[in-house]
Amino acid sequence: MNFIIYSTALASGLLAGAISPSLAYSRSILLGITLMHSVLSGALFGVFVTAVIGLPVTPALSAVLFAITFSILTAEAVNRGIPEDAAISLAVSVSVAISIIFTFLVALHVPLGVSAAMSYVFGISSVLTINDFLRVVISLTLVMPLAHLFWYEYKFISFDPEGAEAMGLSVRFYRYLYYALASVAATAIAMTLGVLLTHIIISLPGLFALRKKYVYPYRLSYLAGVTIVMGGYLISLPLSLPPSAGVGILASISLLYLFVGGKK
Amino acid sequence: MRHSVRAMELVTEMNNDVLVKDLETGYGTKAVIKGLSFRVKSPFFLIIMGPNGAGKTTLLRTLIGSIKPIGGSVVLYGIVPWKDKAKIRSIVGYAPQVINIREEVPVTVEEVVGMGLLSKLPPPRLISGSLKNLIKKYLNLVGLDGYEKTFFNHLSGGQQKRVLIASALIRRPKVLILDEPGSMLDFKVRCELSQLIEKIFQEGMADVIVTAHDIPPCLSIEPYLLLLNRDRYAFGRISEVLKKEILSKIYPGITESEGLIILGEDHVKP
Repeated sequence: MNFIIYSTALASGLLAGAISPSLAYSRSILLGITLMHSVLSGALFGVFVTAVIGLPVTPALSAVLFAITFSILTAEAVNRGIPEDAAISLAVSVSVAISIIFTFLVALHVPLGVSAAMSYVFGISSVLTINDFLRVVISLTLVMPLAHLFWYEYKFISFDPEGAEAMGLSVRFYRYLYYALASVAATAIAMTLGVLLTHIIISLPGLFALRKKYVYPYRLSYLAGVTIVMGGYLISLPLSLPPSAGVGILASISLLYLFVGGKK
Repeated sequence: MRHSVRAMELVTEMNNDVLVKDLETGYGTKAVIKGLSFRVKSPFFLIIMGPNGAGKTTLLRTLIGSIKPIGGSVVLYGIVPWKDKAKIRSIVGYAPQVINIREEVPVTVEEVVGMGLLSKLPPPRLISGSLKNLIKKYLNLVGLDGYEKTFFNHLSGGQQKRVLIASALIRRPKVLILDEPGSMLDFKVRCELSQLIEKIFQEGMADVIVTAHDIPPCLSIEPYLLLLNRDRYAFGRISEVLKKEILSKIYPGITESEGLIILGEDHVKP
């Protein structure tokens, strides 16, 4: 059991490290809020349609689809001139409304429905199964190579979007591909650590690398991701806390170090 | 007979490497530029000059196909830019204004110049040994030997412009399009940059289109000049266009003092 928990923690840390640099370098941390709220609404929608209607749409699949759809719609709205904060607020409002409606419906129709809903908010990091582990590993196998393959393009698009477009790079294609990868990664991590913590976990490693001005940030990003997630799991045991709480404590300390004590 | 006249007109038009006719362009349905027409044949060095908000960058974006014109037509080397973006981007080397660049992203000079060429190729885009040599060659051309591993944001304003020129030039473009390369630079640096751009043109590496608020200093050639302010424009050689009566129509804030003409930055209300 412990092997599955720590292996999942390791894979989650690597997954966060793989997706985080592009998120931080493209200044899309705020967009992560949209991502996480849509993961929650998608997961709850999935719980409802699977348990009540009987459709074969798993919470993980609907969470990924919701996350991709909402992040692309938000980015399109920004492209069409709506201020970013307004577009994100709108997406979050719609996601929250969907979450509330489906939490209510799940609680109404599914025994223990509310606890299922809450598990997506706070995570199930102490009761992981082999399926949870496999979900994170499959996501990692998909996300890691593609994130590396297109890293140079992502960084250049973040650096000079106008120049990149003029050079013939399809800025829109790369952004949407990135949102798809981020959605897969965020969903996989959220299903174990919970939506609340996942936003921090996928932002922090990249922020470390950006703060240190690394040209190739992955070594630091992976190190930060694995250290925070694995370290969180390790410190939670003697404190008798759920592992995601330990991760949250370590993430908070890391953020404090990053912005107060971690000046380059 | 009418057909042959039309055919003659078409041949004449095709002989122009930049052909802009009754152009109306802007963002969405809001036109920034109206009724603009000019034509120029390669080799050319064209300066697009006008006050803030005159539509200089809008015109450049139309020329590289980022904006579809509202009306009229644009043809660049026989290509309609907005219709065939891939083709137009394969012949254009574009250097945007530095102000639009996010300098906090840690990008090296080598990466900026390398992407100029790699963006023309399919992924995976990796900086190989041969590309490193090519980057060195173009950095040498713009006077930045040994700066490969330097961060872009550690360079001075003039050096950053040179890197962007190298990045545009490594693509071996037919035309080098530079958006305000001289902005926010002192006279000496602007002078050196103008001489570099002139050298690129004189050596036949590319035609040149440059936007500016005033005539780039230290040029030894007489370029074409497009004076532009939204729905007003004048086009010709500098000696034909730089006249007080023409300038006063493009720059409403123009004043004359002790024999000097001072260009205002006033906008013309569309």
